[in-house]
Amino acid sequence: MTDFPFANVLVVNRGEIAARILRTVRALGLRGLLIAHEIDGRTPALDLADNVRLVGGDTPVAAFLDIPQILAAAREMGAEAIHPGYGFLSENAGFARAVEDAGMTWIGPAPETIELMGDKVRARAFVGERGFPLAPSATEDDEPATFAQRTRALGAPLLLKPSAGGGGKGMRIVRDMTQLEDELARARSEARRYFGDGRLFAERYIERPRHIEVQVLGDAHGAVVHLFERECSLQRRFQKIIEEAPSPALTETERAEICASAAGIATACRYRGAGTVEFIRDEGGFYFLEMNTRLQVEHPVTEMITGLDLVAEQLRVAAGQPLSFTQAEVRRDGHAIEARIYAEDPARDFAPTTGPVLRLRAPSGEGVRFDAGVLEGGSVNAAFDPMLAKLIVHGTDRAQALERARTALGELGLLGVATNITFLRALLADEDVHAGRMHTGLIAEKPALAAGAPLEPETLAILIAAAALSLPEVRGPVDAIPKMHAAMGGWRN
Amino acid sequence: MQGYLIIDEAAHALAIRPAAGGGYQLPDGTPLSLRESEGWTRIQVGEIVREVEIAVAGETVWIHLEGVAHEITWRSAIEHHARSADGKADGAVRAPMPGAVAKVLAQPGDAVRAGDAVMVIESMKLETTLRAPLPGTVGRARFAVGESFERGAVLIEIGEGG
Repeated sequence: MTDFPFANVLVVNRGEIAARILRTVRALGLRGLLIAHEIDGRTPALDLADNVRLVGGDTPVAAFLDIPQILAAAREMGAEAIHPGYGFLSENAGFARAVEDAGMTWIGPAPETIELMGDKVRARAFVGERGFPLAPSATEDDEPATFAQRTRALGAPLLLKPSAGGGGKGMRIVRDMTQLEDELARARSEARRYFGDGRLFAERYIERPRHIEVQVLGDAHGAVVHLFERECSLQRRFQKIIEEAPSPALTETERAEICASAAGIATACRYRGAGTVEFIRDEGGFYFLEMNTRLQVEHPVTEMITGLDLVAEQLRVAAGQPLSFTQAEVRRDGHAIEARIYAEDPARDFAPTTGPVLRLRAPSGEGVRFDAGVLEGGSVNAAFDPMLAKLIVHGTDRAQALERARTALGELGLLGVATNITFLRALLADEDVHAGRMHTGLIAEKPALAAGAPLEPETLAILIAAAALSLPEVRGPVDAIPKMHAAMGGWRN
Repeated sequence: MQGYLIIDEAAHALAIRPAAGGGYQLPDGTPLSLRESEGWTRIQVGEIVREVEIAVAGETVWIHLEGVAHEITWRSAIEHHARSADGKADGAVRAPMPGAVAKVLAQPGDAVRAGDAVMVIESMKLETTLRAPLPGTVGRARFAVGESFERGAVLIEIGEGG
């Protein structure tokens, strides 16, 4: 018997987050159900699920977006609650409603909240009307006929975003205003492709900003707490790759201010569950960016410094329980850093890579957590997001956390598919990163980090020897040479 | 010489032979050895000794050495020379990354100049425009809109003339 009105929790996701959610579901004494696509093969999540249904579709991604099919699988398995993870249907108000209409518990905020925050235009208006800070912007919907003109008036540099978007998809920076018409057309095309909605939104692009976000948690009874901030300024193509908490940029006064703003926004929209309020920050202050109405990829950073299990909190809130702690009881200890392991080639502009996972050796040690979405013997395909795993470390201070992250990344042996691991280690060793002087354009400004270092002669010698003696094509013919010839020496072909 | 090992896109000529007292050596006589134990492999080249982790898939070897994973591909001498011969610019527009076709901008028979946009592909979250590598006549797109492909696939070819 548990404290939950549901016993069977379906995870509508894949990869590392599906496994991570299932671990908590099981730890709380609940049964974990899962949908999966056959292209993923064996995964950590499959090993943790009590029951699984395969889903299919025109593409693997489409299967994870197919609401009728997913609800049918949920009913077949006897699901009583649904956790959407991040991405896919996690911020789809229609899905949240369909889950509730089917008599199941939606583990997330109210559908109305998802709708409000999912519409970037309405969300900004909501936040701005309540006195929270916003960057200068132009919204197509306000007056479509004058959008290009109003956008031009903001001046370069500009950031174009899909009104319906999120997660960095379809965003474009415009620095040369003579290219504005072309960029608008391109942004509109990408917005239609990703979100089925070509409406755009433009805002002043703040050069070298920091991305700072605040984790919030609200219950169904109106209580809201913040769980401090995370700094996610290290990004490539608008995608976070390293996140940390606390932010090295904030004074305690600024921390109190940004966290109070986030909690204020969450309170204003009567937020239920785990959410994140994102801000950009420059010397002038911080501005509301968007609110993500779901669990974030980088939530473990917050878990490491607060000692909380955010998925457990989501489940308790969804079960109608009041938060079991007050703001004053939230503790913050030490420093945590997350590095996202991607199947991609930093030297080829971070193009995604594919391949078999021939070897996977997880790092271990004090303060080290490794959330993986793949198993040794599995494979990485191009059908889904290329994030393979997350390494999260905790240290007593930032210097120790950085050191632990670098060490653990070196221990992480992932062979068979090219990854960004070496790049992440180089990034963590960068002097500006060490000094905490970060901004969202840092990676783009330092192409040498992605290009990689040339091999040392000794390294090259070892690699050549190891490869030659491991390849049957090389070693076989050599082994076939009679000893006599070898003894004669001077053999060449 | 047996062939080449391709490391970070550089080709390293390889010639090893049996050493008189067993084991292997490089042409200059430097001894090589590989010893395995419990998943780890000890490699020795002359005086240099390192512990590595090795995984082999076909003609590709993955080696984890001092915290860094390296991908090394074997190419026989014959294959290497065949590649060098057609290494000069051809009209093939190859996929720079795995992805799917978003738009086909040039139709079969169209005359294009070098640098003209011929196709837009989508990979993860980005659209990338592919351009004609040389002037010529556009051939049939090998993949339709929405179809996915792996890195290196020939997506469209530009023929002579036009």
